[in-house]
Amino acid sequence: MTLWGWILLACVIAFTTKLLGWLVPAERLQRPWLLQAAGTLTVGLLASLTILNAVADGQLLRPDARLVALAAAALALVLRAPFIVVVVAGAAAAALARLAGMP
Amino acid sequence: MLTSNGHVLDDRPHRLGDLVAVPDAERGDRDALWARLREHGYLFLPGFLDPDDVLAFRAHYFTALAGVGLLDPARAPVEGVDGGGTVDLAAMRHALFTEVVPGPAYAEFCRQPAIRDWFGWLYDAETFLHRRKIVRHLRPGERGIGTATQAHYDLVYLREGTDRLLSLWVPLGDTPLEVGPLTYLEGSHHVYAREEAEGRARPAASMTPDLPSLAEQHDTRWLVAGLRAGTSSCTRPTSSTPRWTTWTPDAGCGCPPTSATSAPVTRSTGAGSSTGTTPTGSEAAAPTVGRPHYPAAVPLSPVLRTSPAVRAGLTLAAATGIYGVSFGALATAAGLSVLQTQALSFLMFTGGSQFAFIGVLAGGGGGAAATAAASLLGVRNALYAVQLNALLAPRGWARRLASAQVTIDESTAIATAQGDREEQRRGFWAAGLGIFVLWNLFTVVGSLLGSAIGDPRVWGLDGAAVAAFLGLLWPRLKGRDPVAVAVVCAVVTVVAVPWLPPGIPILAAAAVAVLLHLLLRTRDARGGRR
Repeated sequence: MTLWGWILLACVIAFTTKLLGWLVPAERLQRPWLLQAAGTLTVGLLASLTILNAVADGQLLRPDARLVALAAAALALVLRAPFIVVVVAGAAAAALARLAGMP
Repeated sequence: MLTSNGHVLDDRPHRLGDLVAVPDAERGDRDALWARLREHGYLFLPGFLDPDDVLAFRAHYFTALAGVGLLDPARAPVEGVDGGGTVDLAAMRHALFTEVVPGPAYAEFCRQPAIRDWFGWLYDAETFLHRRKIVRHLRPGERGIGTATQAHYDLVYLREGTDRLLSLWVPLGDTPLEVGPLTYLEGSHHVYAREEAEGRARPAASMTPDLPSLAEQHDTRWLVAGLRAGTSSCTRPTSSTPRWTTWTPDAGCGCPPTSATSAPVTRSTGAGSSTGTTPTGSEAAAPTVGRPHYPAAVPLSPVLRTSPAVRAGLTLAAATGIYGVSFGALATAAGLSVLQTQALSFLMFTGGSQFAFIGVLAGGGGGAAATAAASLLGVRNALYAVQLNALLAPRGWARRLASAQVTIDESTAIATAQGDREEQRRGFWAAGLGIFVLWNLFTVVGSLLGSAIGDPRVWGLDGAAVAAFLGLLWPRLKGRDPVAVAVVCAVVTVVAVPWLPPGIPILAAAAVAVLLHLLLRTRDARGGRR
């Protein structure tokens, strides 16, 4: 198969994967225990995404300026900053850390 | 036992108390009422409205919902007896948003003389009805996260308006405790006033679904009362801001809901102004001077200003979308044409999979290996979709297909972080469409300019993504259990990264989260908390 073929196949698989989840009937999902489980699942996924974006690089663990961003964001959140300030603090901290020579 | 969003309210006397009704002697004394508002933050007014007027609107409300499978067809709509069947959510949404909410009966109900004249008297000034009105009902047994409104203060809805505002809550029919009326955190208006005075007022957002921990945090009580048709409660939403929430009963409490099993509650807000002047603040608070204004829908720009979910979604979209530059640059460097690069961003549209695809190619792998890596990494999107479908239940094929295409980490994170259904929907589309547009635009930029712009990491954009995810997680870390779940899942992720292919550590963390949830439920059921 040509590269174009693989690209389109991968795109079809990606979209079908997403769509499958949406095809589970919504009424079946309106159950208190399921919504509670979804709440816990969300905490788990967000924690996983946070740490993944902070230290992972493919299959490597690579501690770098992103950890400074994580700390800066946590500090901003402790100080009850609004979401956008938290994001900007994270970007600024990472940029400054790299400017200071951090990987 | 009372629960809210699955959390059991502590019923000891220093954590749970009764709302105190305004004594008859004070009902006609304006100064006494204001003094009471300043001291308690609320006025509880049994017999405020004519019960017949309230029941007439209740009958109208449930009649409009007659065909959606909500009610027992053998009973009169005004009784609001739950049929226990499957509700056609799309039809219900349609009835609510095209019939009930924009309809004349609702407008009439909100501006009935008993309400309008009372606010006019209380302010001793011309008053205006705020455009933000809410009407809702709960079904028996609806008690999961997302069904009840989280603890919040009305600033969430009335942000940037005048502080000369009062919210009015009207139970549409008898609403005994087991049906789930509303609750108020005693003294919370002082808390907010203090925070505001100290310059650390919170951004507008739901605070937490965990009411017990909020009472612990402020060492105060949740105040409750069973409500009769005609009762009203009035609160000061901004300058001294109370915290309201509705709650839902626990089916295990031994008091199964009886006749009034579905109890809609409405809230309208009267905004006061000095005679002849425009109230200060945004147009949301003062649509027109001299006459009340009752728009059916809020136009987009105020939504942008007033919806925390839309703001958060667009912020994240900006931070993430720019990353399209690095994808575009790396993809062309890996040997893809500009068109092939764009096809991935437009059709695949899930960043992790896209990077995995070109990563395998750049590393010398073939198309099959690239496709396998990308597909594996995309499995989590199916999980997200299941979760989002439970919250948003989109109507129609076009919307469902569009929802599927923008189901990614960020849109899911923004949507699920909101406590309110409408906010969940707005956040999902703001983040999903925002990122789709920006990601594709910046992919073009990246693939055309290649490495000329330099590494976006120099600008700290990878740090922005980390901060954004932490910002979404943070509000959910109230109480011991969520913190434990977050820590365990983070550790599992870090441990799994070197051993599992990219994309799988997140699935491992998700599995562990579900496992933890089951463990915690078992603990609670054994009497740890019940």
